[in-house]
Amino acid sequence: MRFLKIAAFDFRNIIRNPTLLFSNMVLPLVLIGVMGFVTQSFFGSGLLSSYDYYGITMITLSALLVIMTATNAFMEEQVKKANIRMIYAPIAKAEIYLSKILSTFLVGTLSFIFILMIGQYGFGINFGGDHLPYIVILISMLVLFGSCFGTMMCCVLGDEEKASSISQLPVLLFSAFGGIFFSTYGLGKTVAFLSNVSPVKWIVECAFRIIYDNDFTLLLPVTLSLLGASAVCILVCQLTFKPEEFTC
Amino acid sequence: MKTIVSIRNLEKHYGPKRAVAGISFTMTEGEILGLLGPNGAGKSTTINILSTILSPDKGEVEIVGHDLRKEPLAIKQNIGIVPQDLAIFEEITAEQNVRFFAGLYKLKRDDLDELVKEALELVGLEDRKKEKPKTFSGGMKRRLNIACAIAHRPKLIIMDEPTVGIDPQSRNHILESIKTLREKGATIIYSTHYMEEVEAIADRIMIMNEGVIIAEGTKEELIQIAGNETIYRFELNNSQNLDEQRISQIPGITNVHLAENQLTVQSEKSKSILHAIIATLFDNGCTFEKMTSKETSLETVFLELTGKRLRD
Repeated sequence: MRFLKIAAFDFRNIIRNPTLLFSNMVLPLVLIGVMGFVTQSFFGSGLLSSYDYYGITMITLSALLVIMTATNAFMEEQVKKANIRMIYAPIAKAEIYLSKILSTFLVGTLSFIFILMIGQYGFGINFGGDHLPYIVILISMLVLFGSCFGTMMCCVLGDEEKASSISQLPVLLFSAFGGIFFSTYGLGKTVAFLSNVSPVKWIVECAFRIIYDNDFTLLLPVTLSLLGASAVCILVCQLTFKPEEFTC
Repeated sequence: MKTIVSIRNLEKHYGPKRAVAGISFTMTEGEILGLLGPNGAGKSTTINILSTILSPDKGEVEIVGHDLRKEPLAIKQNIGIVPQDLAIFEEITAEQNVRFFAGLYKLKRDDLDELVKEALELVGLEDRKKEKPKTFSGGMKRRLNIACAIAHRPKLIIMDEPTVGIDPQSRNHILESIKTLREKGATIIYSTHYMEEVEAIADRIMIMNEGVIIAEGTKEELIQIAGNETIYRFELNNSQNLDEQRISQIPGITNVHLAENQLTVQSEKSKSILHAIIATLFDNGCTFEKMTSKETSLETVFLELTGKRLRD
């Protein structure tokens, strides 16, 4: 019960933060709008519009950037100071970081459900039509991974700023090679290899196959991979989180 | 009296550095222990061990009858920590802060309202409970910091510099609150850099330096260690006829020193001999412009024992 109470409290803390609220609920829509508008001439009038393409890719990027929400929810200066009391309280250390993961996951998932719904039914972006729930599952798993990864980086580095800035590098690299900003098709063998090792590529690929090909073959392996990676992050949290560092 | 804290041969190392080097002490119920020491003395490490955040390398620690290694959660349930940093949320009300942090302890839901009210009353914030700390003064935030630590009625309260940077009125309020907590049976460890606070509230004072306890006792006992004396200094107008021997012969005088019309006389503090010194000076035809006196204080004791001023 106390764990849920802490998670609920963390949840409220995140949604009280206008910057986090903006980055999770508004920024993805802005990115879709800007990228879709700027590149619409490249897409023609086929099945896939620029807004459809960047709808998926920008949501994937934004879902990964939940890492920043996680680091902020865990170690933003004010939160970190108040967290000292949780460390002194009779609760297990796992409850402290798990509550941050859960609250970030809930905020992220609810935000992206909202964006997907608004995008599909408000702006007419193709997020899968009847297959929308599968896209929600896929993005939720990515949000879970982002929440766990951000929290893990905080546990390892012990500092929000370091965790955020270091996390941004792999996010940007994976996003670039994963085809988030532009298609990597036809850019040579090296880029193709890097693209194949980017988890972002497989998430985007999975989403497009579900939406346009009715093909669900990637959904299970991608979801399980994200769940597995999240579990690894939680394990690293348990091994590296040192409550005493909060008090120094 | 019930023993609340029992520490035997406690040691903690950080690499080759001994942060705590085999300290032992006990505390009984309702006692306030003033913990003094320069930076790096081992106070914070000791506090972190008592609060179960750090594991000791050696030694035994029992708090409220619970072994630190075997029952850390039971110990956490029985202690309240007032950290040096303000550990409060600025964006929620004072009452919500206290309620949330008290809710982290095993308390009956029915008791929570009463405990929150009691804690806020104790620190004098009951009438501001619906306001957010971001609108509070520094002193009020410090008081809220205390309320958040004591709402679950801990048996042992550890305060780490709870009055840093606040106004005298808030400081007095906090010191009065601490006395009230003692009256209610709480045992308190009070770590501070303000000597006068320790003098005002502590039953016993412990001075740490380089990981060891270098002195322990009541204020009077510690002053005795440093030599309970009064030092008088006279700026004489003329000293050519002064016979130092005559002053030395006054009962209670321990030392006399004269240099360039500056006369320094050390005496036992309990002896009232100023009039005898002045009479002797007049008898010797000496007059003076200025006279100062200084008694041994805790600050003197601290300086003598550690070689540092407390706020260095």
